[in-house]
Amino acid sequence: MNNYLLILKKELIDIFRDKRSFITLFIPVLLFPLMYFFMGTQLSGGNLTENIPCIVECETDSDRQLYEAIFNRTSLIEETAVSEDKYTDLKKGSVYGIVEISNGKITLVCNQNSAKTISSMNLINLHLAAFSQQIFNESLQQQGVDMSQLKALDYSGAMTDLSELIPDAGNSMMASIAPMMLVMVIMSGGVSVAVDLFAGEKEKGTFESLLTTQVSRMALLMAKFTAILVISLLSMVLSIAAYVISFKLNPGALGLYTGNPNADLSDIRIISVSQVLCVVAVCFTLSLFAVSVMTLLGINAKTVKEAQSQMSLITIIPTLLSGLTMFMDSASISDGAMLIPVFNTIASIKMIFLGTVQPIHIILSSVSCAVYSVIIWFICVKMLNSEKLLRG
Amino acid sequence: MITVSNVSKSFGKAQIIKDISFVAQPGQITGFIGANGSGKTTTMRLISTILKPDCGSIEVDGADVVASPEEARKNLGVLFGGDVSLYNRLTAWENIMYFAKLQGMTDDEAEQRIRILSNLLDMDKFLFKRVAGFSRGMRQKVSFAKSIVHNPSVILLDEPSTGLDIYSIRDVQDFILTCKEQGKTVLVSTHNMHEIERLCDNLVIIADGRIIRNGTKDEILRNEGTDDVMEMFFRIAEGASR
Repeated sequence: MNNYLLILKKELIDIFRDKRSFITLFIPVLLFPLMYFFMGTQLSGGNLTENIPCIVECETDSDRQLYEAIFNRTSLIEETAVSEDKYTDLKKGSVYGIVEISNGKITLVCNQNSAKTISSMNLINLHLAAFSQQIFNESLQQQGVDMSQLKALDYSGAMTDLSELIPDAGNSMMASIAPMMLVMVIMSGGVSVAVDLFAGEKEKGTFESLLTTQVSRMALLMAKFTAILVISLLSMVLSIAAYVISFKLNPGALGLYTGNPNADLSDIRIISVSQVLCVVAVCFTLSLFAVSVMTLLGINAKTVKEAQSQMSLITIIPTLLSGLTMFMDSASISDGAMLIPVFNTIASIKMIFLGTVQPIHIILSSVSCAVYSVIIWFICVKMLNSEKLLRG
Repeated sequence: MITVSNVSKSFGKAQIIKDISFVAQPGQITGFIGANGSGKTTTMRLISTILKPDCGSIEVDGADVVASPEEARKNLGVLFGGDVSLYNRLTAWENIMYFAKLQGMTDDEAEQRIRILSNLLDMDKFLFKRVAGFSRGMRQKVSFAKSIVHNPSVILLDEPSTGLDIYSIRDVQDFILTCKEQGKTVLVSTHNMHEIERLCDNLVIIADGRIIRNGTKDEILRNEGTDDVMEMFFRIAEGASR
């Protein structure tokens, strides 16, 4: 126990004196707010709700009159002259769209490759639809038609989210952000430390020296494992803080996840303490699993370079799985799928925030990750006691 | 004392060590000589309990390295091949203290011992500086100190002066002689013939995993009919390969 604490203390001092560890831990706190500021600016800054620059082409005078009738009462469109060629102007982004009117027929041309123009052009589209409906209604009313008799359905087209009706219906915003964010941070947080603590020591030759001391290989393994776990969890906490700071400074960035550029932090609601505890449970067991895998790869690798290339896999896999679960209906995930490591944590967190999680999901996810960690631990102990470890 | 009796070691199908036996006596420096790949480092690793022999036995001051490795390690200080590997972000003091505590020393014992070693190895000027900017000679001195901080009775040195400048070589060799005077058993593996000439009382010459000569330095030189250690080594090695 004394040796365990001694090694752990030394490893943590060594890690915190390393500029690279410091950068790995604290870079998200500095970088995320900047990144989201830039992305949020792109997202909200490009969407115009008035004075949308467009090229307007009217074939005849009556087409021009029609245009003026539709748009002159609003400041929706800012008519812009063609500078090179109308399509080139649209492609370059100097205009958001082209309004073509030919003998009363209206056509809108937009650039689907430019995200910032799409929502602006949708506004013009909606305005045209509303104007068309208004003309239609006025025409019928002039002919004495009772409009209420023409209404087939009393339906406005607007949908109400379940979370506005019952408080425990879940939080789709958190369900989309949290799993990806947490899992990626957990899986990558301790990588640089894991590389240094095993492969790094082997490469330097200090590992061999340690094996000639009184310390047991088990104490060595446990202390190094704990050091990686501490850094992994610390990295997760700091990254969560960085995300909160980012969204606090620039709420518009939340629109990246919600499609709503006007979203703000109050839209994120952590509903209950039990939800938080469930998230902590699945995140902690995933951390155990991730650190076990990092330890195994670190022990197995002979050089730092080899360890780095192997460990890049454990940052790629969760990224892919995170993307996969974004398109998955969490309610249809089977119990068996909850035994797949990493995937089960992503799915669990998603279900927790959607309010669809069952206790069995949390148990299967946490217990399976813990069991896999124990299995990997046995392999680590076996490898550490193997003579192949230092044969190089 | 180190007693190696009929030890063999294979990795897979390759037999690296073939039935070797020798004794390194206390108060004497035994040179362990051989070409690269002859089995020197593997033998050092077997003695230092990192590897286990396939057959035969090794004792370090009476402790069997397989049956009681912890006991053997208590008596053993090991400096591996050009081992200047230290924790760069720790100071020299912290590096040595870390290994002292891993060897079971108390804070007071370790501090006292580090002060003594610092004097002996002339480390006072850089003892509390981080290792990162140290020269190879400075690092070697710290490595030495960390290996023997627990005052072991048996010292294994694998190429202790590799890459050092002439002043550091002198300091290291003087220190090895001091260890001998203190009655410690010293086994030195080296390619440096001057080092063998200056330091060693006994020689164990290994080639292709077998001991081809074993005895006092003077006796082996006399038998080979030369005063020159390098010439002696070539004659023995060429004789063994015929």
